[in-house]
Amino acid sequence: MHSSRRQFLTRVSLAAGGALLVPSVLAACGSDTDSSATPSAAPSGVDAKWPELKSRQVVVAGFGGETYDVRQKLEFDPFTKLSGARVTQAAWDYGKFTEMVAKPDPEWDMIDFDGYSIAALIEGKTPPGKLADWVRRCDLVDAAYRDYAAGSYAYSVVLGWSTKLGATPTGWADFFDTKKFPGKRAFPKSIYAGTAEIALLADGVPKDKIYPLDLDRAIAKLNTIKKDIIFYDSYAQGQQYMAQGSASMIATANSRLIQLKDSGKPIDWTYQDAILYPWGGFALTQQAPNADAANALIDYLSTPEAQAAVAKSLYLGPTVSAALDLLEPNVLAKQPSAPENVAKQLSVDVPSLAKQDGEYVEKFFAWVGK
Amino acid sequence: MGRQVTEGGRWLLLPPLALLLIGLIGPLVAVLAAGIAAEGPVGMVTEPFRSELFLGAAVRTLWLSALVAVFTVVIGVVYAVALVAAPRWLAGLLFGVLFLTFWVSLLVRTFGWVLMLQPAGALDVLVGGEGLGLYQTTPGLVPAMVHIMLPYVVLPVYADLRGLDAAQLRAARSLGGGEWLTLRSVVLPAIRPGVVAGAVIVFVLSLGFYVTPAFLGGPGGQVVSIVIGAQFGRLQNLGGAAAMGVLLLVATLGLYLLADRFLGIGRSWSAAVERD
Amino acid sequence: MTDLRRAAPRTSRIAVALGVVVALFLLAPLAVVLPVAFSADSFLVFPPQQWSTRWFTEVLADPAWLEAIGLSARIAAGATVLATVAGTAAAFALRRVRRGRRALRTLMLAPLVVPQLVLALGLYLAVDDLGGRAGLGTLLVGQAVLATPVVYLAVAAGLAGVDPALTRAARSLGHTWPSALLRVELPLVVRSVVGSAVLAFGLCFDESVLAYYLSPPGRETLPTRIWLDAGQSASPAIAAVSSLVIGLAVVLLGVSVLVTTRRKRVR
Repeated sequence: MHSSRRQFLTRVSLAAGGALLVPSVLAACGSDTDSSATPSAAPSGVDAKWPELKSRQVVVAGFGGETYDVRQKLEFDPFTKLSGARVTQAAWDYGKFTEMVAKPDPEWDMIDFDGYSIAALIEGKTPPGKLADWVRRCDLVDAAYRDYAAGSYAYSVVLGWSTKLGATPTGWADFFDTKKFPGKRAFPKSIYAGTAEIALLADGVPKDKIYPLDLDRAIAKLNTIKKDIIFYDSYAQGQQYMAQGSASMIATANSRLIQLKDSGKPIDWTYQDAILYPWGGFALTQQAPNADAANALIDYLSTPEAQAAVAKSLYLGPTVSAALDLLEPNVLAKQPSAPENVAKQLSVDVPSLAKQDGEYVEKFFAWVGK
Repeated sequence: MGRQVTEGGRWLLLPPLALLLIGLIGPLVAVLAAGIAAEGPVGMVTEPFRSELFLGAAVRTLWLSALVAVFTVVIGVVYAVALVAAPRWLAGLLFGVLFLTFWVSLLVRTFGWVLMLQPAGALDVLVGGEGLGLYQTTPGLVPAMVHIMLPYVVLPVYADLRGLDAAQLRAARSLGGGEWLTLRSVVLPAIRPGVVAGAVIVFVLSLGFYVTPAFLGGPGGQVVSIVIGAQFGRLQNLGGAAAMGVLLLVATLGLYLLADRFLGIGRSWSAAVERD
Repeated sequence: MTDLRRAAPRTSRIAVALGVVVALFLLAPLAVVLPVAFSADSFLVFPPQQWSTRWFTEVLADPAWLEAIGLSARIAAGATVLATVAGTAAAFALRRVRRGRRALRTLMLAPLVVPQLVLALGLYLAVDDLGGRAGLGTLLVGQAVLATPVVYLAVAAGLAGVDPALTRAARSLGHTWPSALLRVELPLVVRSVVGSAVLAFGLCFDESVLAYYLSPPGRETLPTRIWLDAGQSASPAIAAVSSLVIGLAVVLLGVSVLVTTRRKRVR
């Protein structure tokens, strides 16, 4: 599928850390010749520490859509070539994972998880599977969790809006102002990350007083626009709402809005007052059926090269500091965890969130269900 | 009908009974067992009603199904009359459209409805204006469900209309009472079995319907099958799901059995299929 | 039917006019999906601003979609075989049992009204109770159960027109009952059996609820993939797949129309 010449060029440019030829996989122009992201070749020597892999597949629960299509080409396919294990994607589901994490013979090997979700599991005495000793650890992950969280990324829940609105929203308070900014608000139906924080910020709570979260106050604020909300089932559906114009504002991941804007859609977004999730992890189930290959995949995803490739294509920030050195200045500037962006955002308090996780889940889903 | 042929009946029953035992009875018993295991035989019936979510969903599902049944019957009867009264070529076209939609995947049809009903979606684009506000609401489910249920009314009613006695029609006409008399005395009584069968079937099917509410329904205010699905999938609360499932099952099967016994639905279907 | 038209002309005209409106209503969702499939955009927007067939090429070249189609076809085929055998046997059995005929008919039609989600839950639990994990085999059985009433209704209807005297004659000539069934009765209802088997195949191929809950990750049937894609993806690829499905339905409809009109002319 990928020409060996392309692979060679990519290897060279990755090694040099220079300008990667990342064609716009995200652009609308239907260029059939290069409709894939730059295919990554596996960084050389990445499998040096791997044991003999017996498993033939790894089941990853992820978010699907275009982001995961890019991941498939950038990371999963090269991994498969190297290891012989096929990467199968399953539909992300929080409840399903927490149910299966400690049980024998789970359906999934790992899930794309937020840092605080992993912390919550550890807090609740059902930790995810511990990473094998030979798996690279990510240094930007909080020290207490490095044995459980790796291979993942930083992202922000940001405010996105349609440029057809005329005026530019300046913060979350405007998200809740449906008179000044008419139209529907797009909100995730089953991903609760950032929801309470957004509501509290809009209600005027200062950033340093957000944690621990006053969930009831957040829910009350959310109810003020309840009838103007349309829910999206997945990040991709949220993107479709904005592309179609079904919603005039959205709260969603920065990477998804960058994709939309790059493909020429009339939307814009900002890091101002965004909710930053500085690290996450591909959490393993304790008795993952393909544990050896799953660990190898996480190790692969934690290499600086893989982290940098994802950061470049998807603007999902690295959790490995060595990857930051591989990024060009202008790409670095747009990362959620770039210093000037961090200053504008609210970085989540992982231990506090971990403690409140159960309550958060319960109240969020109760609110959605009304 | 003469002496019935009786040999071999028992052997012939083996394949279907085996299949239904393994594939239908077994699973339904498993649901019952799980419900009892989770809540106890009494709790199984009462527990779901304690949940506000389930109660709301149950009420919602009932009136939604009734609404869908009423609309489907009205539109279905009109369509069936059109099929019978239209000139040959047009009737063929109308039939073609009906069967075409029936043959197209349910998911594809529902997906089309999402595109139509979402804010600033196809309907808003074509008709203009701010939209009907039907997306992710319970009333918004009605058009899509009627769309899917229509054949269940059209086919039996059409069969009934085909069986209309030409002599009776002529007689009614010659009495000089006008069209309304003809309709009231000949046509309406003739289509009654089809209408009843169709209405019951649509109502029962709507009670348990899953796909359309999954795509078009709002997360707040969902129907029973979606609530069960959430317990089953996301929340992994299999016992609770089973208990609710039993209630839904009792409702649907119960209605079906009652309708079959007192209204002869099964016979009506067989008749409809025969005429086809 | 001209009798009705003559007896109630005004009503007929109104009904026909309304019928056309309803037909448009029936076509609307399909008409919306088709243009989007030809969009050049990478996001799903109606109406498309630029046109291209790239999504069709992408979908048809994507092994995942082809795999899903193949899997759906295989499971549907297996389920159809089971359903056809069960439904046909039941229809024949109905003629032969003296008591419990009504109960049998009610049982055979029951799968039509059981909520599919409850059946999915039940299959999952039943397999789990037996120590296994629900998978494609479970799905196959479940779909067979759902399709059996269709076959049963069609074959039973066909058998209603078969004179029991024929079977009696065959028996009196020395046939055993299986032989009489296979040689005398079955050939008379072949059309119903085959026709309903085709319908059953279509039903199983398109079956979505059981498939969604029972398909293991990575081995999804076509409807499940469409379902997941509809929720998880923002691209017109799913509109392209949907258009292919609609196209298939049109072709099938055309074929069946041709077959039935041909037969009428021959007679």
